[in-house]
Amino acid sequence: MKTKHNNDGAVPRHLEDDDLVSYLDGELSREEQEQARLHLESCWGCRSLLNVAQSSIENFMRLRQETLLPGDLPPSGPAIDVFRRRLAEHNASAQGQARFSLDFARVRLALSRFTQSLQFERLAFTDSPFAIRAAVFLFAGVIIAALAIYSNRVTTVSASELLQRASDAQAASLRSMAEPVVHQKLQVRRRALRNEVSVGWEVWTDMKNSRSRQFVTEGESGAGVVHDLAQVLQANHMDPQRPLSAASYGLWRNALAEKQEEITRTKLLGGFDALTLRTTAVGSVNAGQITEAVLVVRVADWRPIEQRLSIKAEGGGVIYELTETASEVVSLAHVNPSIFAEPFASTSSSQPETPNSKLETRNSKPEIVTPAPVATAELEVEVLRLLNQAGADLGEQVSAKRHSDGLLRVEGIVETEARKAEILSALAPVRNDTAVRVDIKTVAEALAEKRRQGRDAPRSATEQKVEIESGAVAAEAELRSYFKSDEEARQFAARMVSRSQRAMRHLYALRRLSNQFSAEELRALESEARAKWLSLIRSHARAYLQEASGLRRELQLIFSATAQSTGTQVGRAIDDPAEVVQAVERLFELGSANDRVILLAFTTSSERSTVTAIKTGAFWQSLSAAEVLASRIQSAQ
Amino acid sequence: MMQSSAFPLVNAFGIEIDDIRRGNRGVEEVVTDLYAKLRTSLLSYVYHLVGSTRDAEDLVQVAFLQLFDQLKQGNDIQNVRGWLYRVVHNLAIEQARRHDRRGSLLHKWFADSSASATELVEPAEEDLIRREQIEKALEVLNERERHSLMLRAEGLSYQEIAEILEISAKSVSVYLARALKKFESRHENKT
Repeated sequence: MKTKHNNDGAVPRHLEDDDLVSYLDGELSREEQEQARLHLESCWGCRSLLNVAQSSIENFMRLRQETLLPGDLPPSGPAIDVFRRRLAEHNASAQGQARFSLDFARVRLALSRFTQSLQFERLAFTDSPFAIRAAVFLFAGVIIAALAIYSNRVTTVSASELLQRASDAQAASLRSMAEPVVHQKLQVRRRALRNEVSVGWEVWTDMKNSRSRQFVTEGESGAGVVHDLAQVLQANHMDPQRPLSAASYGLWRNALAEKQEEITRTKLLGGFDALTLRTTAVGSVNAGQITEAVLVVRVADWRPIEQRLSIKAEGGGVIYELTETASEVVSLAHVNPSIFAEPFASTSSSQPETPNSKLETRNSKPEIVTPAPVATAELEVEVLRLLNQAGADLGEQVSAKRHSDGLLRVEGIVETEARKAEILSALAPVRNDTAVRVDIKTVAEALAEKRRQGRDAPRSATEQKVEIESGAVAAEAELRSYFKSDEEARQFAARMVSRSQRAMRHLYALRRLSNQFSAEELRALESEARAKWLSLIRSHARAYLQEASGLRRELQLIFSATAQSTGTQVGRAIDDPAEVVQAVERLFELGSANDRVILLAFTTSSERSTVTAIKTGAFWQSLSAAEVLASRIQSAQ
Repeated sequence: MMQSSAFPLVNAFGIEIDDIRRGNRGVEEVVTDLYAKLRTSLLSYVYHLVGSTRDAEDLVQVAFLQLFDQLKQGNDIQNVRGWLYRVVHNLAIEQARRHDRRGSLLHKWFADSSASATELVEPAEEDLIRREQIEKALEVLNERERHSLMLRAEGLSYQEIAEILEISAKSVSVYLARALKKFESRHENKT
C-alpha cells in the first residue's frame, strides 16, 4: 500500500485507487487494513472515493446480472446428464488402460533404465560375478515394483489410447468444417553427430481431396533437410503429408514387431500439462529406420505438439525434432488457391485425379516446393518505409505482409486513380522484385470486384467529415461559457474531434508497425532494417505527440477548472524492440481511451449526460501519461 | 492444508475432496456433484471469453474431466474452484486464439473496425444482442482488466486471479481499480 506517513507519524496520507478496491475486498494485510480504516474515518476525500468505488462495483454487478443471468444459460439438468454420461465413458476408457500400463514392456523398459542408470551398459553386465548380478536383480525388482506403482499413479493413459485420443481430437476439429485444410507450421531440427540444422516448414493438407503442399519457410539447405525427412517418414510407414500427427506416429508404431513404450507426464512452457510417449523399437533395426520415437501431446486438447525421431544411420545416429509452432484448421474456401495450385503444369496433366488417387497420393513422395522467391523481413521493412514516404500508412487500407507462400504482398484500396498511381510509383524500387506482389485497387475497382462476387461493398477508410450539429454536446456548458457564439463553439468542438482522429491515425499506424513482426523476427532483423523500422515508429510517435500535446493545450483553455498542470516528465529511454512493442500497445490503449473521451465530450448524443469523463482528473492524467509514453517511444533507440 | 489468504471462500470445496480421501464417496460422484454446483458460475465466466454457450458448456465439461483425472490419480488439489477457473481460462484463451487466427486476414484489412471479428464466429442472434450490452460497457477495458473484473465478480480472491492470469496479486488490484474506473466513466455517460 502506498500510504505515506507524515513527518510526525500521524494519520497516513490518502489512499490510491487500488488500495481502495483492495480495502473493499478485504485484501489488504491486517495492518494495512487497519491503517486504511483509520484514515478513511478522518478523510472525507478518500471516503467519498471509496463510495464511488463501491457504487462502481454495484453498477457493474447489476449490469452483469441483467445481461447474463444464470437463468439465461442453458438449464443445468440436461447438462448434468450429458456430463454424467461423458464422465462414465471417460472413466471406462481410463480404467481400461490402467491395467494395461503394467504390461511386460514397461517392466523390461524399467529394468533397462535401471541398469543404464547404474552405468552398467558400459560394463559387460553378464560377465559380472553371480552375487552382484543377484543383488542387482533383487534391487531392480524392488525398484520396478515401486516404479510400476508410481507410474500407475502418475499416468492413466496407455500408448494406444493416447494416440487414439489425439487422433479423435483432430478428427473432431476437422468435422466442424466442410472442407477442412490443416495448416501446420513446424520447426524441423536435424541433429547429427557434428552438425545441427534447423528449418521452418509449413504443411498444408487438404483433407477432403487428400493432397498436401509443403513449403520451406526459413533456413538454408532447408529443402535438403525436409527432403531427407520425407524419405525417413516414407521408409518408416509414416505419413509425410501429416508429419506431426498421432495418425502418422501410429502407422509406424503399428508396423513394429516388438516395442517398448513408456508414458510420462510433463509440463510444457506456459504451464500446460503434457504426456510424452516414448516408443523404442526392439530388435535389429536397419539403417534409415527409426530406433526410437517420442511424441509429446498436450493434455488440454490432445494435440501432438512435438515429435522426435531417432534414426539409425551410418556413422552415428540422426535425430529429427519436429515442433509445432502454429496450427489451424481452415476451410478450403479461405485458403489461397495458389497454395494448392499445381506447381508444374506438365506433371499435373500426367496425373489425372481418379477415385483411387487417394491411396496413390498418400503413398507417393510428397512434392516439396521451395518457391524460389522468398521475401525477407528486411525487404518487408523497406516496403513499409516506401509506403510511409508516400504517406500511405495512415488511414488508408494499404498493408504489406509476408505470406506463408513466401511472397510479400502489398495490398490496399485507395480513393482515386491518381492516388493509386502515386503509391505504385513510390513502390517502384521493389516492384520488380520477384518476391513482391503489389495489388492496389481504387475503391471503384474494389467495388466492381465485390459486386461481381456478390458481396457487400468494402468500407472506405477515408477520414470522416466531422459534423457537429448545433444540438447539445456533452461539454456544452463549458463551451458556452468560453466562446462568444455557438458557431465558435461548434468549430472548436469539430476541431478537437478531427484532431483527435488525426492523432489516432498515427496510433493505428504505430500499432500496425509494431505488430508487423514477431519478437523473434525483430530480434533477427538486420541492424540496418531494424533502424529503419525504429525510425518509422519514431516518426509516428513524434506525429502523435504533436497532435496530442496540441490537443491538450487547446482543451486546457476550456477545462481550466479540472485540467491539471502537468510538468513534462521525461521517462526512461527505451532501448529494446520488445519494449517498444509493449510501449506502443500501452500507448494505443491510452490514446484510444482518450480519443473516446474526447468524442463523447464533443459530439452530440441522444442521451444527455450530466457528468463527462473529460472533466475528471483521470482523463488529464491519462492525456499526459500518453504524452510521456509517446515521447519515450519517440526517443527509442 | 489451508491456504493463507484473507478470502474466506478459498477452500469452500475442500470438504468434497476430503470425502474422497476418506473413502466416503467415489471420485465420480464427487466430481459430478462439484459440476452441478460450480457449472453456472464457470459457464458465465467462460461465456464472456468464448461468446458461445455451446463452446462454453463443452470447455467447462472438459475442465471437470481433467479434474476427475487429477483426483483419480490421487493428486491433491488444494483449491478446487481456483484450479477449475484456471483450467477453463486457459482452455478458453486457447480456443479464442484459434478463432482469432482464422480471422487474421480480415482483421488486417479492417483493422480499424470491430465488425469483422463477429462475422466469422457467428454466434446465435440473441446471444449477440445480450452480449452487446455488457460488451458496450466493457469495451474500453483491456484484456487483463476485463479478465480480472470478471473473475473477481465470480468471487475469486486476488491470489486466485493472480494465479490464473499469471500476474502478481498487487497487479490484480491495480487492474481492478482501473477496470472499475473505466467502467464507471462509461456507465455515467450512458445514464
